Amino acid sequence: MVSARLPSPGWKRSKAFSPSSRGFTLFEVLVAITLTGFIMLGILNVLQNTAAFSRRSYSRGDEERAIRLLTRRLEETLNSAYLCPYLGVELTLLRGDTRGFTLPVCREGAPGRAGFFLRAGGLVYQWEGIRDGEVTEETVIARLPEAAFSYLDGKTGLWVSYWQEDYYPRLVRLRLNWREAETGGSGPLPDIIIPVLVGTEYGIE
Amino acid sequence: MVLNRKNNGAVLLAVTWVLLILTGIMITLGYQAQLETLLLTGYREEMETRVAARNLLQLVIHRLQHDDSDYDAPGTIDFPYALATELGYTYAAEVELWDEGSRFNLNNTPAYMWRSFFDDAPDCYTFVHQWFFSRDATAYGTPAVVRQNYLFAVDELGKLPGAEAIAAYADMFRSELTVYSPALFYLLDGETFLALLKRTGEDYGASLEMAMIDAFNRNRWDAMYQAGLFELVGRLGLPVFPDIAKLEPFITTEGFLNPNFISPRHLNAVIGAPPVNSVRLYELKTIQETTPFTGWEYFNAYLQEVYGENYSPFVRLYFTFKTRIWGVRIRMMGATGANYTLTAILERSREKALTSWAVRILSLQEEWAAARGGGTGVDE
Repeated sequence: MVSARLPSPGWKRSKAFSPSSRGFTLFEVLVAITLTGFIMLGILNVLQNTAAFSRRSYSRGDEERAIRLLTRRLEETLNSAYLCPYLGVELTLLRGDTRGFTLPVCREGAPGRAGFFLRAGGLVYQWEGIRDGEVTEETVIARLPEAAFSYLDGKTGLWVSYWQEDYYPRLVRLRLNWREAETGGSGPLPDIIIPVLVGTEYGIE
Repeated sequence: MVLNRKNNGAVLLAVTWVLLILTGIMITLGYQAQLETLLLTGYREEMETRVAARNLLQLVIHRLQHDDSDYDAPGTIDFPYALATELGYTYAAEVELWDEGSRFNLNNTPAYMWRSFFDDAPDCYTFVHQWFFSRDATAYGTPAVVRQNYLFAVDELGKLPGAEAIAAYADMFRSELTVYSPALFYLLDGETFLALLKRTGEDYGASLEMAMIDAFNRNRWDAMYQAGLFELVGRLGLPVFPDIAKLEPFITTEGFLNPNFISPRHLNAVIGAPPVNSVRLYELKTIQETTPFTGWEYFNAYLQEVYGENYSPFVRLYFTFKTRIWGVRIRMMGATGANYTLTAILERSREKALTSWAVRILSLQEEWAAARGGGTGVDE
């Protein structure tokens, strides 16, 4: 029976002084402390690495999400660039500099000028209706690192920081200078480069 | 087994708490990972679908460039699906091609053709005429002698002030109208020609405008033969000779209407005479699809059957059997059910290319037809 085997307080004391439970030697304690120290060091190291990895991956994830959003929004607008050579109306094509650009776009039957501007540390999308002249703005991203637009001239093959030609540039580039801390120290993120397919000619000899 | 009754629940409780906390951490991490994976998967699918559609567009361009057939008709430009499969596309794709240039362009055609085109919808004619000729860009302004407004896109017609009045006709005409075609010199009248001149930046006084219109209308029959724009404009005896280099992008003297794609309504507007056999006219679509016109003789025989002898001998100048402005629609069905549609307008010409056709992209429109999961994950 369990109750019959319960020791009395006297039994505990006498048991402690018995040869079979004499305690640990100094050597055993030192070995145990050393081993515990090694284990703790290992655990600490793993925890530190995990924390750093987690911070890095979340930070990088944020930047990558921002790049995905920027790519998609820029593609959406640049892909629907308006070009109708038979209309003949004075319709200014893409105008841009390092801070942003506008271009004519016809979206769901509504003609207008769409554009992106780097403003107050963020990126702003602007729409101006051609018929009604109504201007609307929307902040695409509120916090961006230092950034600049540039344009590839398909005729000269050069990147330029200012565009006012009567044809579309072949590529539009947004260079984002992420600081190392923002990318979690995992190296620079690539530029965003969007092709302007409208106006592209094939088979010219 | 020896148990301490005073402590026999504490370890279990502690272990349970530790397990609960660990489970909570695991669930949170798992949820975040799942969310991130979902966003990435959606974005990847979106990118893959878009890239696949653009690659198919490049195949279409390649096909149009190296087309050596004698005529174009619905079904003759077979898209190389086998090639697409060879390239490893796992998406289900549909490629549709049509002749955009053979649709009716309100911007570049005379108002008398509009009356014929909108013969069965006079409300549309009234609305369109009032809007194009209105000085203050409203549907019911004071009409001007020369058109003042232009459509940037066909869909814009339904968004103009007062367009509710013609909403019932929207579907009827949507697929028969375009803004992507040049003006055909032989179909112009004085007013349309002057409007085109004004679009090049020319500005004349009111009396000179009237003189230009009058000279064009009086002498146009002297300029109804196949020749360059410079020569034909020279035959018009205009009081002021315009800058032909500026006019050339808007006006062509090469017929571009394809009998295998033109609609009966547009054909009526072009011929300018009522059909004597309207049954045969409305069989046009069937003919185009089943027994397309392969040459002028066959089409001329059809015109005689439909219009009798009531059509101008110059009609031949309007037509070609090789399409100039192509419309392309590529539909991609993504793995998760997202439908992506890319619509493009391509201009094909031989002017700049020697051994194959030159193709230029005039317009691109992308559209996601179904709600997507994932995407960029920010501000969707």
